Amino acid sequence: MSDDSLQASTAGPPSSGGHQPSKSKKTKVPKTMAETKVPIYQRLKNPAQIKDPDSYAAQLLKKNKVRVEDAAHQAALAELLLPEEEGFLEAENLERTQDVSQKELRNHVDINTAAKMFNLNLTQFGPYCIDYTRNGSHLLIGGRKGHLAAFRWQTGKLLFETQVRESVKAVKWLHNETMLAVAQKKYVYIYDNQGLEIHCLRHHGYPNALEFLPHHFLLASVGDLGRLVYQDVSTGDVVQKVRTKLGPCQAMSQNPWNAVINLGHANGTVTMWSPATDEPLAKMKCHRGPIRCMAVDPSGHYLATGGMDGCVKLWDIRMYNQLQEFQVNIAPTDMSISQRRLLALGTGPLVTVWKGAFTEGVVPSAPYMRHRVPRSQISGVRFCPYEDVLGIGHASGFSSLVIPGAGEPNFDSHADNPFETKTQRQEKEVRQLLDKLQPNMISLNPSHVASFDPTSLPVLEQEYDELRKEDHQDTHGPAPDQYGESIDNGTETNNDDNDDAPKPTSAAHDNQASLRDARATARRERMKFLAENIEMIRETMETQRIQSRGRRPPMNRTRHLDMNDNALSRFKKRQRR
Amino acid sequence: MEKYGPARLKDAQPVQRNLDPNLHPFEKAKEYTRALSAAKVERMFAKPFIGALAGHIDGVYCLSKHPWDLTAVISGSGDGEVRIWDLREQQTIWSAHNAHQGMVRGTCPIPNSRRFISVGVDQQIKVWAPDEELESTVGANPSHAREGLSFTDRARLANLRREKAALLDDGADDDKEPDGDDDETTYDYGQLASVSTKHQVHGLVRDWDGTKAGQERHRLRAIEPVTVFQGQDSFTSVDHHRTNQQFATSCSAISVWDINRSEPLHRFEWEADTINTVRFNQAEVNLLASCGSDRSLILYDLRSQTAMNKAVMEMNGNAIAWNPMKAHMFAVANENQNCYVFDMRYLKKAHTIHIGHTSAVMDVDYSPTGLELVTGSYDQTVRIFEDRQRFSRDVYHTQRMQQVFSVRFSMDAKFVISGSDDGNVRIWKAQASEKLGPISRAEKDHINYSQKLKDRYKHLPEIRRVLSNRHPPKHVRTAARLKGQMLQQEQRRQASIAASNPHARREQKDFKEQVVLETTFK
Repeated sequence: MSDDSLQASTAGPPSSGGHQPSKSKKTKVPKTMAETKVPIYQRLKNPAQIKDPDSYAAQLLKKNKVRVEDAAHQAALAELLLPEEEGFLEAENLERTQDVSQKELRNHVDINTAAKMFNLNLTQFGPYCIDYTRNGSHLLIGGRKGHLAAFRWQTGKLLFETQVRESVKAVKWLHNETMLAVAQKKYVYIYDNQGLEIHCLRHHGYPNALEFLPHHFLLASVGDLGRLVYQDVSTGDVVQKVRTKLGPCQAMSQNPWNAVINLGHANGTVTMWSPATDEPLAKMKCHRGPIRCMAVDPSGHYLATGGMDGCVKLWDIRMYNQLQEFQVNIAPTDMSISQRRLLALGTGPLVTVWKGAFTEGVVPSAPYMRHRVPRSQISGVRFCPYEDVLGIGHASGFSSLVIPGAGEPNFDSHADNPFETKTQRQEKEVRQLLDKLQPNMISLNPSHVASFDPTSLPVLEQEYDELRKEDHQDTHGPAPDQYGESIDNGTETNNDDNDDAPKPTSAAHDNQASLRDARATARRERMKFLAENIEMIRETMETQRIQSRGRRPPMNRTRHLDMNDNALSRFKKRQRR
Repeated sequence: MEKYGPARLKDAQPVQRNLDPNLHPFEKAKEYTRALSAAKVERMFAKPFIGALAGHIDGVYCLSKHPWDLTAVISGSGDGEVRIWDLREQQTIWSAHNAHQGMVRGTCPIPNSRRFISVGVDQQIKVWAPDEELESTVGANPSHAREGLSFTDRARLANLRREKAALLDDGADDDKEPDGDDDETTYDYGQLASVSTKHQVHGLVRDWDGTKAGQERHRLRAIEPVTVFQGQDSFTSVDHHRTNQQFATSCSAISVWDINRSEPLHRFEWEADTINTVRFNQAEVNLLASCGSDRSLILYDLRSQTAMNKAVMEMNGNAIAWNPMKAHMFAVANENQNCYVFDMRYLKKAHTIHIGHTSAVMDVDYSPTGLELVTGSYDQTVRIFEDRQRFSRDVYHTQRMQQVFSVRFSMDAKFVISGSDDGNVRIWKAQASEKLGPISRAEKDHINYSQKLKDRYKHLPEIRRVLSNRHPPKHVRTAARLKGQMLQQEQRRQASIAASNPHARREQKDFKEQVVLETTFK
């Protein structure tokens, strides 16, 4: 293998070992390059349609569209300013990238990158689960037999090392490197960066897996009780505690794009959860056996699942389509997707990294890279953000591997800054708290927040109409035709209708009656919800309509108002005085 | 590492950007959250009250702003006192006690001079020259007669001269008091009322050597008006022509006076027994509008020396303000709790109706931008309306403020001044949560960003609720609720009439047309 063919480790900003593209090359093709990138930055995917193109609202929308498109174009152009580029291993002729071992790679990369390959021999308390902070600067490892350690992995500076004297199932950094959560035998504990236990979260019983939603400050756990618990770590409130009703759960992952929590269950289904609902937002039957591990890519488009049946499946969760399926020899224990969409699988003693796995129709015949930890079992696999590094926790300790092209080469200091100073971290914490999102904002499509869909109005109205008819039939026998009329009058009449108590039924049909009552209650709740939404949408539409035309709805008449006394008489009174 | 750190030790950390949407998830949700916080912060910092200018012993029934002096405001009170205030120092710089016998009904500065006119119920029009009074306290100086020097600047200049003189005097002779007229004595503020006799006009000129509150000393001296015009009837208002040396007064009729003649030039009468208010248009300078006690709204043209047309409203108008930017528009503060904006070209209906007050609207004034107007009401509140918006943008009140009889927008559109029955002139911010004083660049950016966010999401229920939430006094809330019920009842009545009688429905007028009962052309 020639040196030229091996372009390794360019992603991590500190290493900067990758080739720097010549400037002249960039300036030659900026426009076409930028134009291809514009759709990535395009925000206005489905602009609202207005019938009358000359109306004020249509003009405003048109103006806005121009502005949004211009912004997208500018953002695409700004890519020129990015200092780093990604770089992968490239094989020549008969070479295969998977044959490049870490040892061989070490000989070809710069010193900084070589320093990122290391092993920690910790045979006593393994196997280890691991986690990196969101900016990739700190690493947390937790041994199953109670060993817990956190350190700045690049410099090797240890924050703390402790023995919790209890089994450790999962570890998770919270919003920054000052706090971390550990799923222990019975409860979840929170430690600070000195290893001191600061909280015991007793609402999380027998946890197996942990996830932290950094934008919502929510810590989620699931465990042997099959209960998904959301706890707000900024206020301490338990936001939601929901029974999955699908038995003990091992596999959990968050969708970083919409903060939906995915759970993999023993019956092979994947359920997607939001703290706003008691029911899963979606359910997918993915495997025939229990699900062992899952991962979602940063764009939120793709899901990878690994089952006990030895299958690894890749899904497009926008359409709930299966993209790929392949069999591995041993059921995967953990998986991770990097910022550049490399998929790492931990199967037995072997870690395989797959490249280009998420392109539909193209089945990668061989892994991009692989690494074997002899006489061990892989227990945790995590890509380090903003670095070309894959961390693996296994029965005999921890290994750090360099996987070229894995991480995002250009960081954004407003999002995550790997070189954050203490002051910056403190300031960012304040900003994060100010921008904290509410739990009920979590939904499958995050851009639905703070917007409404006017097309949904007729659908809601129709559903309300049907429920109302049903309700009327239940209480008064066959429905008359009046309901349509009162719908026109708006929602005040709807509320009146909700107050109608269900008619008492005879004792003989107790069971049936209670069933009916339950149905009626559920129906009314739904009706109330619908009525509120209908009202809100109407109100918002009305306000927007008025604001866009610059006038308000017709005012009530005032001429017959009774006035007590007028100002002139008061003046005269004063003068007389 | 070196590449991304600061270039030198003390430098700020460099900022690295990558606009990839994958690195910035939840952008809309975050924007919404920020908009909500911005809305809450705006309401938290909404402290519009700046200060109360105490001094008048009776209620303040008229206010006028100075066309070129930003900091001067002239106020007239129920006991016949006229004061000029320095808004920056929040102090009186000149006052005439007993300027009129009884209530002062109107004041207005004379453009292109440093004099002003006041009218009162004592049937007199007086022209005052406060500058000349100020000057005489330190001796006349031709350099003071420079054009463009404002009341307040002049007062400060006088003070400087006095201090300088005092310093010089100190060295020479300690006993020597600054010379003045023989009748000039120094009084404490509270002694004034006992000194002023009923038939003698006295004025106060503040001594500028006292700086601490409470130690202020005022120089009491006899003040004479420059000119006095004797009218036939007690006057109700006065306004000056923008360019000519003419002014109009209202009593039982509108009189237009030349400042150099003792008799009025014209007299306009049209069936009204009392005219409440008269206002010159500041752009179309020969137009006049007036409101009468017969509920009339009359427009006059000085060039043809006639009244043009008249509209009869359902109740009296209390005050008029011409829109400074749209010369054909004017607002009328009406006795029926509303403020109406009319287009003078079409008086058959109101152009906009501003509602919200729960008692008679006593005064109205436009912002110099013409985009906002302020109203003061007998319900003890001041409301600010945006142009063309039915409901008020903000409502101001304090526990001690009584019925508001006069309001003015300051000439920089940043402040609102109100005069009320409790004898105080109050200064308010026009934007309740605006920060006064110097604003850094970063702060300015943040303010702009927050404003944009609020604008973007203001329609959404949560943010709208925060932004529109106000806590008016209880009596206002009660009255508003009652008014709402009455309006609802009336609406229902009208609807049932319309439902039963198709003819009536056809006849029913637009609600803006109902404002005007009839119009007449002369």
